[in-house]
Amino acid sequence: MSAIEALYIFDRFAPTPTIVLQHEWRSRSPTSPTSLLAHYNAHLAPRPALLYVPTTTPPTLLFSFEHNNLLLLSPATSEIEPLLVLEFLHRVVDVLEDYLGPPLIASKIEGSYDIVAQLLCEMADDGIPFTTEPNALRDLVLPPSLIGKLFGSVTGLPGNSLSSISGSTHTNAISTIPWRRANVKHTNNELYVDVIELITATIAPSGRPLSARANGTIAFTSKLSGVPDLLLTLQAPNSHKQKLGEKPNSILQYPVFHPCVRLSRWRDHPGELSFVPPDGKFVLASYEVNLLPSAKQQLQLPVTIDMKTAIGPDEDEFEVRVFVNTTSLTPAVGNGSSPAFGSRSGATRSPAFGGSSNVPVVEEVAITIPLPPAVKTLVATRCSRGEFHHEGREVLWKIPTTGSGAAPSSTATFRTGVQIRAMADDDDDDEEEDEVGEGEEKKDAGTRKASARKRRFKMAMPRCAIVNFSVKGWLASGVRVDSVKIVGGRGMGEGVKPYKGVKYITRAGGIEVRC
Amino acid sequence: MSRGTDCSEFFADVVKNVASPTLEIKKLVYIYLLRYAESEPDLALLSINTIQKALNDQNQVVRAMAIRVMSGIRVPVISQIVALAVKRGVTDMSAYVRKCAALAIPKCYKLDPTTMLQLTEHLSTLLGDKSYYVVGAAVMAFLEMCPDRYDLIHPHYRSLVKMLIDMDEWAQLAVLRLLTGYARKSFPLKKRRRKKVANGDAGFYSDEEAEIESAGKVDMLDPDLELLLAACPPLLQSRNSAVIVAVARVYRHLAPPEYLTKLAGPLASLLRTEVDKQHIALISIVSIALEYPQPFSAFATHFLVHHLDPPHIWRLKLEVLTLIFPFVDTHTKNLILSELEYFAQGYDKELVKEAVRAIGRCAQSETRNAVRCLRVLLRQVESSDETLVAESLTVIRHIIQQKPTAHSKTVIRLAKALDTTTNPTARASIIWLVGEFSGMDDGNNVAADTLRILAKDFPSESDQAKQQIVLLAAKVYAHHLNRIRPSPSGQDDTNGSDSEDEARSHPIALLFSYILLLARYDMSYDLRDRARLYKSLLANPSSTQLATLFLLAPKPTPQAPSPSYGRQDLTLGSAAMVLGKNESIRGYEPLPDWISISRAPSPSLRESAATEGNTSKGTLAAIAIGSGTKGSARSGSPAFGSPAFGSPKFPQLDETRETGPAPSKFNGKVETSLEDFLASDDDSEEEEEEEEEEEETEEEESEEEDDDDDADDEDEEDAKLLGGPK
Repeated sequence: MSAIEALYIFDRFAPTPTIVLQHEWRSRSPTSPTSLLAHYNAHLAPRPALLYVPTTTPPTLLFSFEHNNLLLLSPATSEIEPLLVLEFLHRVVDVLEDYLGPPLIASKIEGSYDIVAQLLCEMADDGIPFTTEPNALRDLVLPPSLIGKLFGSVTGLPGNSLSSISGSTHTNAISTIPWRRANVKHTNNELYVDVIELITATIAPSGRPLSARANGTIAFTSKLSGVPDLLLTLQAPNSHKQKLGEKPNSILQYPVFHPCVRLSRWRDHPGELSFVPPDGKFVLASYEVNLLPSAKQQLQLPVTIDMKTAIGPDEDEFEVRVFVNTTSLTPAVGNGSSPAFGSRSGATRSPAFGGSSNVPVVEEVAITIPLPPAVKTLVATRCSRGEFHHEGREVLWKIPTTGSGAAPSSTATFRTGVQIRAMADDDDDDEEEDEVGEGEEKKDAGTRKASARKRRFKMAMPRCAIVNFSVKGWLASGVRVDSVKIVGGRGMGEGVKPYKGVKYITRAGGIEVRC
Repeated sequence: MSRGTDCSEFFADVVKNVASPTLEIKKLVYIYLLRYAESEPDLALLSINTIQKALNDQNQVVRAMAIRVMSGIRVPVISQIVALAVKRGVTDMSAYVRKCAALAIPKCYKLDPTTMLQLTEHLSTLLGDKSYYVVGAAVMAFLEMCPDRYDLIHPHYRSLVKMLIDMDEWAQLAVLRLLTGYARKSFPLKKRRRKKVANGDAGFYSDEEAEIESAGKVDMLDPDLELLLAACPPLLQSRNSAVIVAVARVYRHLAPPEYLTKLAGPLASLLRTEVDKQHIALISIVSIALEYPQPFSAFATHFLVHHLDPPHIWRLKLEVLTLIFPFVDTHTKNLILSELEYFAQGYDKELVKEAVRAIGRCAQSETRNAVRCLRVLLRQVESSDETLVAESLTVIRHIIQQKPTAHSKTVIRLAKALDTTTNPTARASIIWLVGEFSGMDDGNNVAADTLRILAKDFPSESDQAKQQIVLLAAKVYAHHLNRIRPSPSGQDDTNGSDSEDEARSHPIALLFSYILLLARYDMSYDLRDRARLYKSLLANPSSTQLATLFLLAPKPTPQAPSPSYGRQDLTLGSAAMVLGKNESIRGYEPLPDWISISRAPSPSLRESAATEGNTSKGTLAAIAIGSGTKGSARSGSPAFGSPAFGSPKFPQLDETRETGPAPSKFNGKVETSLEDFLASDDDSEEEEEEEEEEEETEEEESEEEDDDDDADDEDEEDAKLLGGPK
């Protein structure tokens, strides 16, 4: 009844829309991919992911997903859960990226059709999602490098030896754990935990934060032999004045987990993730943290801005001031008092966080100022630091924070005047005003015009600015990884101490400051 | 081929390679076959023999692939062979092969519908499989082939619910979809629902039991349904948003509204994902919030519109904000209103409109809110943004019309705003409002005065405004006539011509005729027509009955429903709901209604099967090599489920393992994988300790499962106590 019927991949930026890949899981679909693309393009730019095309026979539900410069289209002729298809498309892209290496581009797909076809064939059977775990797929489909090596090494040899080699490399076993590949062997056993938080916030003109949330993702890279059983413990921040026994679960809201995580363990011991990891890179969990648990809570961000609009003699200028302050940041990595990560198991710390410095550094500070359509150009723009770029309907202002001038706190200012576009209806206004003013005094009309001008400038002022930055070694929520322990499993030698590393990154994913 | 070029000419050459010993080449040939066999059925038949041979291969991957290809070749002639292959696959030792066999069933059915009977038999075997891996595929096949044969599900219902947590995400989706329909068909809805629902999951069971024992007729959910609902919460932690929405569907359509509180958080948190998923999550939220906005009230800040949101996202966000508005505290109300006000002043015209409408919808909910909203809107009327003014006035009009008596001052204020407003629609809207209020307080209002001022600039007004001015004039005059002649029908010509002259010389009458005169020579003939109509309507001052009916009829209160109104009836999470179209989506079927008590299948159907399942477990377990240990991978033990590992020493928590030596007995026959060899080499020494360790962890961790089992058993006992209600 519900099935993913086909997948078409287009190159979005090719001069003529060319189809890069087409794969049908069911019999040939009645609507050709090019006509689907035409229907897709018929919709205006911000298109929802699900379009309904009633003009085809039979009517088609068209799912679309854009990735880099690829456009994935998947038609369905009958009712299907939209999220199923969308999740599947996301998975397809993830898997292809895993196999072909990021970024996924058209030429890479074209270069390895054999692999892509095999993958797509495994990922869905008759339009029903089949094997989508990257690790399980690795068992079934050889990655391109391996095949390349294989064929490279046997050129000139008779076919028999080819088969014998491939027979040996290709295990006929399917791992009994769906998400972990069978027979994992690594000469260097390593594991890395990356905790990445994305802050989204809205700050009212008064400077009061309306909402602030950190969306955290725990990315895990495991290169461990055999079947290890890991226990990862998260610790709640001290800054949240946690009571004894209160676990990070109360802060980490609505976590979602990779299927490998034992949910019962999390339920009984919040903050502990017990799992047998897949091999390679994967997203272990993601969560969200409300940075404003109570209305009184102060939001502390390393970058704040202050925006003034309609200033200057003609009220046609605006100014943005940026304050970068890293002193408020406490490094996520415990210094001294709490046991540093990794020390427990005796492994050295990753240079990614241990070596460089414990002081979090604010990087990639950039302010985006969207401009109203009424703005024609910016004049007399002054910018105390960094460089700005005015393109289309926004100004992107990048401020360097590293290098010689880096200090724990600094400010920068950006000020510009606005020239407005003469709009058609504005002219009408003028005429009307003239007409109205005919009988009256000219002076009255003049002041009216001035006020109208002011009003128009007011309409041309930006209404918000979006702050972007990234901080390494600091997490907005204050959560940190207390320990990663190998508590069980098999396949690892007795004396093997895996190398462990933890990295914390906070990114501002759009802090909207209104004015 | 992947590019879409037709490669069918190479068919014969490619198919020759089907016997290639290399797995990779074989796979590629299979892919080719799947694509082109349909067009070259005769040649494709040549390959069947080889594929059939592959069915007996040592390697489970090869066997599985053979089944898949064979069923995938759409050549009707081979349907018998496929059926045979499926039959063998169903009893295969490898769970992987069985999974493929399960998926082959619907394909086989499509090839030859006469095999239905046989296939359903296979299907029911597979549904009872002990490996969640296989069951998931079987459910998908079931949905594909015979989604209405709920009788096949009865025996397996409980095991399905129990396995739900361990399945992969796609299987979870399929099972949730199946069980939603199943539950509607099997669990009659009790009319008087229990008002108080126990707090925790654990509470449910104890509560129920008590009630069952005390009074058999206490209204409540079917225990089996409750089993399903209780199995769902862990799924809300799935990384797959589709699963979360599927759970939402179960709760929305099957559970009492109390359950929705559990749902709100996970659904709202989907907003942190990609835009496409956000969109669908938001639609789901809206469709729930249309009926039950309360659970979402705590998440107001999640729905704040962000600058980068595309239109289809912010539309939905605004809608959710307005839906939850009546249920939030004052602080949040202010937050939402100021948020809407902020967007109302933006420069995106669409967003402005939508924001103002949203304020209007907020106002509809409650009078107290209306005052607050009106204050916000009135602030907008003086703005210089035309769109904003026009839209706010329309909304103000709606608000005022809902409770006209309370807003006479507002009208005066609006009339004053006429001096500054230039937008034609806005002017027209204000004039109309003033006209509506022209009858209040026996003429002591601004209407006539407004008319006088408007008459001055009549020629420079827009058409829209002119029409309204004429209408206003007609209304004012009609009111005037009604006033001077309180009972027009009673005394007709008693007053004589004096009063008539007097009436004609009254300023209002003069104004009216002046406006009519202006309109008569207007450019627009629509306006001229209207003027003529009003003139003849009010020509005879003594009979205003018709005019009163025509002009002064009380207007119905306008209601602006939420834009997505109507979506709440569609099945949550379906494409039809996302698009908001009911009939036109092919294959969309609304959920069946709750079955009536008299027609509901007896719960004993599920009962007996459960016990039957227990007895047959031994044999099933024997088939399900390694699946026993796998079975609890998610919820319980650290599953290293290779057969070599399943020694009798293993902790006896899982029922499957109670079969003791069964798995080891099969060791000889099992294709011992490379992994097993390696594992046994490496770990023979470690095994002991590890197992001990595992035992510990397992005992802790599989509590959940244990609970479920207990509950299940208890349920059975309960039912026995009752003697089977039917």
